[in-house]
Amino acid sequence: MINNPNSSINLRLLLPEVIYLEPEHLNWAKDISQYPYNETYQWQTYLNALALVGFEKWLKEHLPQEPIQRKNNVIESLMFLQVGEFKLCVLATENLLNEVVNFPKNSIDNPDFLAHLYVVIEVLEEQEEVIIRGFIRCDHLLNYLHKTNSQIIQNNFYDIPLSELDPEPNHLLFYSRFLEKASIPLPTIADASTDNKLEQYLQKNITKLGQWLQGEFDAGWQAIEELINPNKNLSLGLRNIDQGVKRGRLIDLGIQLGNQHVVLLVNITPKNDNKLSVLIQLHPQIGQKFLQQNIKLSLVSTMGNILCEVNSRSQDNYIQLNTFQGEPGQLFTVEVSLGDIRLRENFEL
Amino acid sequence: MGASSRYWKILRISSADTKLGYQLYVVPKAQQFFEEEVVNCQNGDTQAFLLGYFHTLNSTVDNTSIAAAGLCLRSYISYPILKACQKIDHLFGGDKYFTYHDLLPFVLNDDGKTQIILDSDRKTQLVIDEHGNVKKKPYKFFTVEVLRTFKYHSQSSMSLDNWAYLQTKQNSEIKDFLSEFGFKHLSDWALLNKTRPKQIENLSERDRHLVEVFHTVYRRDRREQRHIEAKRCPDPSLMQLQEMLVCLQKRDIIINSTENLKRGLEQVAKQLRQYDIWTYREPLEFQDPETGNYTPRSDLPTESFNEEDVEQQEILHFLHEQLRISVVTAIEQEVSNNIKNLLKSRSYASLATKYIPGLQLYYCEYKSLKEIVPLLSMTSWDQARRLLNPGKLLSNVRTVTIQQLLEKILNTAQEKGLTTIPPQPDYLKTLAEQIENFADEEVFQEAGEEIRAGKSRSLDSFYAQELRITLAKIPQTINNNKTFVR
Repeated sequence: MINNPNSSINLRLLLPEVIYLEPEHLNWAKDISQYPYNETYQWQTYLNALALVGFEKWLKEHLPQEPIQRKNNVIESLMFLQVGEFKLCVLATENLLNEVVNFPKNSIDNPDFLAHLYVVIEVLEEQEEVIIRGFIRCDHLLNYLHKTNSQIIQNNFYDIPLSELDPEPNHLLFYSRFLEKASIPLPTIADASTDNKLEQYLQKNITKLGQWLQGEFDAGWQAIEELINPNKNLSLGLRNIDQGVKRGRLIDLGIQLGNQHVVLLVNITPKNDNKLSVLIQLHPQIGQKFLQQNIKLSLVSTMGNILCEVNSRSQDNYIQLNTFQGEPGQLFTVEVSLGDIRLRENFEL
Repeated sequence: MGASSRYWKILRISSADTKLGYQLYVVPKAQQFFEEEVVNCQNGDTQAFLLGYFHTLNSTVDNTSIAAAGLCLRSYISYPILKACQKIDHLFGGDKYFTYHDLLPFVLNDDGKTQIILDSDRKTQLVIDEHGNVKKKPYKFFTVEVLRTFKYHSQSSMSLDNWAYLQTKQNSEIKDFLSEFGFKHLSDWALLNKTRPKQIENLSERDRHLVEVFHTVYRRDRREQRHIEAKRCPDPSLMQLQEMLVCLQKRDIIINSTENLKRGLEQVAKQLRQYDIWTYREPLEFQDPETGNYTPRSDLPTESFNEEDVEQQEILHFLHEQLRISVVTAIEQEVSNNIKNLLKSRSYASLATKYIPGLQLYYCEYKSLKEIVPLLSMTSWDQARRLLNPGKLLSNVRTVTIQQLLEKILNTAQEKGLTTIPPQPDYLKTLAEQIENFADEEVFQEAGEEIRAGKSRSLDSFYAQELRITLAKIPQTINNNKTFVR
């Protein structure tokens, strides 16, 4: 009976787990995808958000007893759900015809982002549907990467064959129902493969912007009046940021350039939903009118991707990154560079 | 009997079975050969024995035996071929213009009768006629082509299952068909919008710029100005095209008019309809560095569990007892749950009263969703589909049924000391899979196929019958289903 050939044909091939999206899902995804900086990230964040809300709807229907909580990291465009004791990472794609799933490197390498289960969702944006294509347990995923000695194929993604995923979404429900947190062990920070230097650095040296709202500032962050010629620059650059808390930091770009200093200015403003709006500018130090040419100001994700960057031209009074919003706990890095000199500042919202 | 019947039962296309599009046929010549030769073969590796026979260069082996070994193998690979077609169908997802039935004629064209051998340099299929004469075959069976090209001697070769799967996906007629129909449900603009970096890599540099610029402008507006009512991707507006032209200029690509840009984008979309662009990477199986063995894809058919096992026998007996009871309670529970969920939905709450009548039209009157639209004064097929969603109801009933069975078996297993509390994840998964195989075989496979069958639906599965009984129990709730919601 079990060996009847038809039984080897997975019913899931006939009956995929399709979830219909509703207008409020699309609106939420639209809102949340405004925060990243370039269109590629925005579109991916939009897809991730659609995948997340669709999947969340499905979970709530099937696990009405479990507490389900969103944990987004918009800056990395990674989306998480806390389902009871388990942390789930939701990965969105628009097609899987080549039967390969691209896992962002940091979703695995960064201990903070490691999840018990990774769920792959195909988003059919035009049809307003998402399909649960499969999921993989953290231990299986790490085991696969170890076994295949997996190299990063390109653009900071691990390519995982779709066949490594469990195609039966019900198993997710069963894990949640019958297992405990310890059943799916996550590697601790110590034994995770943190070859990412930036990540290690981040652990040590992070400016916590959330504390600024309570008036707590780390050493080195000064009131801007001490750093920038107030008359000149306020009229130009800071006119539109008179709300929130702003602090600056003097950055030394090296003696080769005659001790060229610039001032990194960060302005944070509390927004609705517990979010913070962040504006980052780079100014010349007191006494100088213009920034030196070709200084680059970049926003870098924790996996090392440049999310946004600006170059100073010949007569720029200041340069700035587009304003963005994020939730408490999110990490990002700002890089100031000139030629070979690179300096990074790490922040947590 | 078990899995060995795969060597003498072949899957062939069938117009008689409209539900499946294929049927299982016994191949007497293969069965006879299998029982006489293979069952007693020395080394126990059935497949290697048959392949050795089929590919033999030993001139003393008679052609009829070679052809019979070939028939066994042809039967065997008809399963991964079918599976590949269903997988392609599944991966395309959405409301496409084809089903796997359309793919079967290209690859499941073996008649399961003709005796075929290969010529000595393994290039040509030869037929043995009823007089034992060998002649060239006018057209090729796909199964034999798969066998012909399979390098079974090679150390690095993949499994026959995977080879058949891969060859089916790369069958030129299937690829041509998919290039024509695979993306037909998508406009050029939807297709361009959907294109991801992996596909863009396959384009020329100029075309890559075109798509990237299209994404920058079109996707931004798509997100920000998406009209919920008109969800289809519209043609790019003049303003959007003008903005794209400016962006292209910055990339040193000069196109002199918006019309030319639009035509250029349409040309790129035409390329993107090629199936190859979407599938160029084929992960199949990987070599385990420790053992040197190849691990087959986990989604391919694997051997089922051993029925001789006493413990399994007990579980099976128990499952038989419990399955039908669980299905009935799950149907009642899920019909009720679906109404509750509809009432919670902003878009569908007002339509919740049409749920039970809709299901009755579908399952008792055999109406299609399209036919139900005017009968229940709905606005569109899409609305009817989203409201009634027979597939989702079935899927949910399956989930609940399997979960109930799983829970009962886990309790039993724990009492007998067969598993810990909580169980190991792998144990849980294997157990769930066994229950699924069983429940799908007994109930859900048939129920799923009849939903997909389209027009001439018979809806006589156990599931459909039980659903009708449930629906009949609640006639008084047709006009006011709130009384049914507990």
